[in-house]
Amino acid sequence: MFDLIPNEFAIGEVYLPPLLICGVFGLALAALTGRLLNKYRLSRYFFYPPLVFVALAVIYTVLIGTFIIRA
Amino acid sequence: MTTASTPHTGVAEPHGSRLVLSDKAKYSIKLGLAIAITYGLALRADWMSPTWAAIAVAMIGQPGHGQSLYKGMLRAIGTLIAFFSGLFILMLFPQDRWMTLVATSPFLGYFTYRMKGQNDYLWFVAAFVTPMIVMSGPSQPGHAFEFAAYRTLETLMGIGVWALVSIFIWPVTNRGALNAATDKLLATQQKIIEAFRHAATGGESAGAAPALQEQESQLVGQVGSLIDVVAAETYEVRGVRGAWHRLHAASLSFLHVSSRVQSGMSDFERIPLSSVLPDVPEILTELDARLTEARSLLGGAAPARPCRDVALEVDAEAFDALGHFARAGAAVGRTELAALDAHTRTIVECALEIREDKRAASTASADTTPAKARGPLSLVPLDRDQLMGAIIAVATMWGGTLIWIYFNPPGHVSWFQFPTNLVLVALLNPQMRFFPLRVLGYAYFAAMLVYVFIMPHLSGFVQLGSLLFAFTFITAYFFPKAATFLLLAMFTMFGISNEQTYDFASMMNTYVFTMSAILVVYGMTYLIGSPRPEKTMLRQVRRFFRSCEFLVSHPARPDSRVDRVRQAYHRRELQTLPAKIATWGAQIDQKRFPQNSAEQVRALAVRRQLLAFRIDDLLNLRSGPQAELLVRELGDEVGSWRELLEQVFHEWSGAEEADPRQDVHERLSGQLAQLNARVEEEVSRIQASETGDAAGEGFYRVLGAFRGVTRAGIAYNKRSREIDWEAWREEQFA
Repeated sequence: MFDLIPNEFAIGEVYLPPLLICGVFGLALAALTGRLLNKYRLSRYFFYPPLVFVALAVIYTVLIGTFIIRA
Repeated sequence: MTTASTPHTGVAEPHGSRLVLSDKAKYSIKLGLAIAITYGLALRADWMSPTWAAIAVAMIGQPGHGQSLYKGMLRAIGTLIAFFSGLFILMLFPQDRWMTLVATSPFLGYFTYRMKGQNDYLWFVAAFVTPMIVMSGPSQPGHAFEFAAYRTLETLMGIGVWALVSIFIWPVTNRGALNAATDKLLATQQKIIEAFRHAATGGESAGAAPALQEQESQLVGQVGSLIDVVAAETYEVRGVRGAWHRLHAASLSFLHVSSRVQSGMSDFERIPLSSVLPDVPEILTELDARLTEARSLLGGAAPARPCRDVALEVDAEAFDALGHFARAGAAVGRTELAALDAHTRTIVECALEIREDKRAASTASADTTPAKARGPLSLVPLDRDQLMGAIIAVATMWGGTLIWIYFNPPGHVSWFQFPTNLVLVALLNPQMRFFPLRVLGYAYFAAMLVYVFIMPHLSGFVQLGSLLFAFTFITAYFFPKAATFLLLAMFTMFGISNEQTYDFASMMNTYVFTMSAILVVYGMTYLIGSPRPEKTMLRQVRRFFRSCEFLVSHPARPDSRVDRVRQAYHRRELQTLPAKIATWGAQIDQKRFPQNSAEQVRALAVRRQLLAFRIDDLLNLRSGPQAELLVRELGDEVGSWRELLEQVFHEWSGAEEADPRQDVHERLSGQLAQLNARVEEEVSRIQASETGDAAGEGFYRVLGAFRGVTRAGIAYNKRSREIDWEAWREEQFA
């Protein structure tokens, strides 16, 4: 299924690097995870959530870049 | 056109009736027109960047023309300061980028520091324009002066255009608003006095309601902000501006004293103040009559009655019948009533000057408020939050420049000033730190759509002007809160010039740059701490009690210069933090913390303010001879009382968990009772052996200060125990 997702994105003849797209999705997923953790009061188990947010964004970006968009 | 007095605002009526526009619609039309005209003039004159003039309009455009003129004046002065500062920096180091950065840092830091307080907008403009002028050196070599001059000229032109539009099209004056706000303020003060009179004469009332105090505080702020605004639009007010400012200062002092009286009202209930001071009802009636007179004078009526002197004589028999601690409470009450007497007298004098237009008589002699240091001295002692803001702004400038030099991403040279400008916006609105940044993201996207789908189809200024008018009108009318950001996005994205070209890649680069800068700025502002209001409030509460602990534990007259500076710093923290904490507390999302209601948070803020007042009173009195006498004679009790306070403040600062076995209320009450007992035993002996003021009112005022701090601490503790502090402390994602 993931083979159908293009590795390169061009909008209006402007080439967007795949890493940028991965980063945008990574940030969005990290924000969603943060909200869910807040909702279920799980964020209190983290020492410093802002740093965890950055870590989550990086992890999601790498995962998306490796398995979905293949940056 | 008619004014917006009918309910059918903005709707055309079907049969021969006139178009009725709401105030908001009128303002939106004026703003759209001014921006279109400004662009037209700048394009016609072929000036360097027509957008600068339009930015000035968007920033200073306010509904009232007085507000606009005042803000425009601040913007013009800020731009001129930036003009000279920027050129001075470029003159020093025209060829050395690192030295240019080093030289810009103190200017930016100083301007950012001054952004809080008087004329904050002036310093905000100076802070964000200076880096722009400095960067014109490397980005346009040889044209730095031209750049700076055009920037200043176009800003002034924008201010001029908006001034003309706001004066000639549907002018809105604030004169009525100033008169109405002042009258309402004086009426509120009368209600507070009435509540005091009721309580002091044995009524069931517990003094003025907190809502009344809050209303008074808001009205004082409103009057203060309107005076310069109205002075900018009418000669009538400008001529007696000094009297208006003194009236405002006296009202502010009235607010402070009435807050103290109100907070000590529980004491008044215990102390039969009207029997110790038989003239209390009379003086309160006189204060009420003075405020009525001031209201009627400001309404234009002729003077009806002069201020009467009411001597606050102490009934010696009733006074002697009281215990020493109760006498101390009565002495404090008498001092506060005397202060109210002085402030209301000043209010009447100012109202008379304003009515009779006594311009020459506007001297500062009758000002009852303490004089503030002016110039560089007003910065000392430093405010920690402002200092932190200055450091963040400078760090962002350095961070942005390093990104530009070593990574050179889209945005290039703009990394020098754009992230700094965003930080300045975030610092100017600390309570809504992320809001402007988030809105800017959406605004750029909206402007991008217009740039791609509409702008390429335009030809000639009539069409462009129509688009500018429509875009401005829609943003100002439908999105008033986000209007500034939408307009900024329009200015940046549209990139209007006489030789208009369209470049999709450039637009995308601008968008990517803006979003990246927003992320960097958001990260940088984390240096201050989490943007959540409850976290900020907790940090400030910790600072407040640390300062209390420091002030209580250190001697009144420090020996070394360093200790004096530290004491001044903590004193400033004590005086300024309660208001900041209250502001942040009001921003806490109640849905997330239903266990702590807004009412509880507000009540706690009132108690904290009371504690700050009482500690401040004690600090003012403790270096006097009466305090030294008391400490000398009651050394052990005063020493253990101080130790207990230090311990309690340490616990409240959150530095250590409170011991559940030891109740603060019991400990403080016990200590107060112990001190009270000792005072009753010793004071008669002390007074018999001492002469002069040692045996008089001054002595009781010191005793009252000790008592006031303890009682305020007990009141704070009672409210604090109702709060679920752990819920606020819990870590969360932003």
